[in-house]
Amino acid sequence: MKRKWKMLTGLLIVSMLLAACTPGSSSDGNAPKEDTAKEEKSDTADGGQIELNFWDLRTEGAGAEMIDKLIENFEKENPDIKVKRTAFKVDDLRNTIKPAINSGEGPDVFSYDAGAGYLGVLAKAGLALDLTKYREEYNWDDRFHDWAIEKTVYDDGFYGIANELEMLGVFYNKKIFADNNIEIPTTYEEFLSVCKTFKDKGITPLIMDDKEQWPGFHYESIWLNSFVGADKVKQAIAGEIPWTTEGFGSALDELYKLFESGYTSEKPLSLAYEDANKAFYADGGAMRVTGTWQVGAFAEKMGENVGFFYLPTASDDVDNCPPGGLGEAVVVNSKTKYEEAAVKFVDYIFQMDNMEYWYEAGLIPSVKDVDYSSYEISELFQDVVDEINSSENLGENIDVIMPPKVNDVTKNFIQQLIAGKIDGASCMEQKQKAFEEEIEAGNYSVE
Amino acid sequence: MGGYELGGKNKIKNWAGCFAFALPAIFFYCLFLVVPILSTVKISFHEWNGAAPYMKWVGLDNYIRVFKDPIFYKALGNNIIWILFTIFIPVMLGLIFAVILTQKFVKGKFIYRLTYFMPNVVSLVAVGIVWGWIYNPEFGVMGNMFRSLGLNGLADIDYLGDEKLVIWFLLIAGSWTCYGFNMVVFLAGLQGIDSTYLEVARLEGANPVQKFFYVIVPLLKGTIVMLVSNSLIGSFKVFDLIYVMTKGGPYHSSEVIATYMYNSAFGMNEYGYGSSLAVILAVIIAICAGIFMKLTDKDNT
Repeated sequence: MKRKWKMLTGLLIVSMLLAACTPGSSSDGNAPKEDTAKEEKSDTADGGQIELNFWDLRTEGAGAEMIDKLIENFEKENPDIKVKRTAFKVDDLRNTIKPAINSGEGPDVFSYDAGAGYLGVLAKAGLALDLTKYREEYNWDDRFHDWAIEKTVYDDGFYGIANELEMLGVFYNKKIFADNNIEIPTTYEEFLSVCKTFKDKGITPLIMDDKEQWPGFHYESIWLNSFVGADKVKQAIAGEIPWTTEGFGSALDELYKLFESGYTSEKPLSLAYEDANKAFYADGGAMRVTGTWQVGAFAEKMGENVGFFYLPTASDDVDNCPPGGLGEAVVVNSKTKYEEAAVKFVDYIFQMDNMEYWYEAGLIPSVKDVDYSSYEISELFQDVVDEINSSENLGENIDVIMPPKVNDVTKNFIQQLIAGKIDGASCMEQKQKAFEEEIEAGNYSVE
Repeated sequence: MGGYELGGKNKIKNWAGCFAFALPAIFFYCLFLVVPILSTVKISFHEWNGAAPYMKWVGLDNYIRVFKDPIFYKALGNNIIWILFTIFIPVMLGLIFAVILTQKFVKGKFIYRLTYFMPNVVSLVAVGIVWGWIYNPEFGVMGNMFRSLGLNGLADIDYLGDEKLVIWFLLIAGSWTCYGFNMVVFLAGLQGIDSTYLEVARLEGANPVQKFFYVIVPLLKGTIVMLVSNSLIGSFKVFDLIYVMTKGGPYHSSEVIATYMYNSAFGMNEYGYGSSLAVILAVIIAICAGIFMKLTDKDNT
């Protein structure tokens, strides 16, 4: 009797275990088949609804509202497709995307850095879908700027659509400028004297933060661009000249001088980005060094009281090419079950009819020949767009192109530079060393 | 197995029965613990960017690199500071608060117990965010408090931005979360002390301080050992608080092994290197826990 009972329980447990095992194996084996069947149905007939998972980086503000609006319209036009959006902070998305795709739990469509160290890695590993055939089908070459298309080509495959242009520069508080009779500086010397005037009056000249470490990337890009010029920066990125070339290190020394002279926020290393923005809204300083992705938020919070200019170049020898780059690319997961629907959604976001939403949210999409004259855009955004249109060429926003390890070193040496621990030359030595290591490891290629 | 002897055959069957009962637990234990540990060890011998379908075998290269890496030693140093501090301070605070709260003259014990224990139920991420606000250079309570007290020297400190001080300010936040737990365990331990000991001590004319050191502390030794070993292991694993508050910055000054490991694997795409850090961390914890258990065993006998 007792033995029988034991055997029974034993069997029960074994069968439970088997039951526990099977869902795992069946979801690997059978489930996709079911889903493809479902997909066919929904693509052909008006059968079941499919759900696309979309991960992006617009956590708040006008950009987030814009994307919600686009999704809403897309769902109206395509009643058989539902889009579930999840917004991530940049670092969180960077850190979760690979394990998520590898485990089959990843989103169908997502925003990701377009650079070689990010999208390039996914492309080579086959985790991002090659969109070459859709590029022709949807005629993307006619719709997007060439430089935007080029950004997402890896090994002749086309892996995503670079979404928007982000320029780096200086926002300023118009009222504080007017109250102190200060004009927008046109040379670097004027810029320094503006800083000095504000400091003498007890106003923080520049709100600069680097707690999160990525603002440091932009300071590096802006100052290198102003001092050595866009051409040399491009050469360094292409590996034609080393980062240690004369002028690079001293450009960073100039950056440090601002911190040293007390022209910046008092404790930049523990000041968070959002807190720095809040300080700017609250008239806590005259200028804020950051990028145009903030246009929407700044215009919303400060109305007409905010303007934008690019950091003047240090000398006349340097071309006036403001630094900027493409933010992220919109990418399709290579393991998506709903390829057609996912691409349709990606295309929809960038349709000409939707450009109004982008511009009114203060974003500059990579779509060309947009006639924005009839759009209701803020004065600030008008300034930014006009400035871009008037500049001959674009400088580079270095971090979006560099591989991860170079960025990691950069994050840390900029913080050390701000703290006055090291000089610009040793920063650039570290950068060059990491750059060479990444090239050798095959994470970055120089033609 | 009360009263009767089991034959050899029976013993095996009995063992098999036990095994069958333990099997579900073993299965999940293997699935969620043993398998990931083994695959971490496997990855640590490879170079892998987390995305590529192939891993490149590099043998012990990752380990050699770890031991040559100055940031690893910086992180290990911070871990050791963290351990020493969180072993002593929160355990001591917990003990002191527990003893005070068992005194008769304390009114409203429930409120105190609740308040002290509260930080422990808050998730570390929330704790990190709130302490981030307290230390905030623009509107932080800490700076404003010191300034209003006229202590401008203390208010001007860059709490989370100073490379030498950052780890200590993180430790204050870290201790805040765990002394309440220690206190509650000590309270339970104190309930278990026979009141006759204290009575005798009182009759012998011991003052409260003597009573504390010569009666209460020795009788609570088991509890203390348990809490110390608990925080020893916990302190090596410290991650969330630091990640939320500083991400190991500024320039690696508050890096601990866990944050460095995370950053290496997920931030820098070096899964092999991150895994080897994880393995080393596990070995260090095992050694420390082993030594500690050995030492305390000896004492108990």
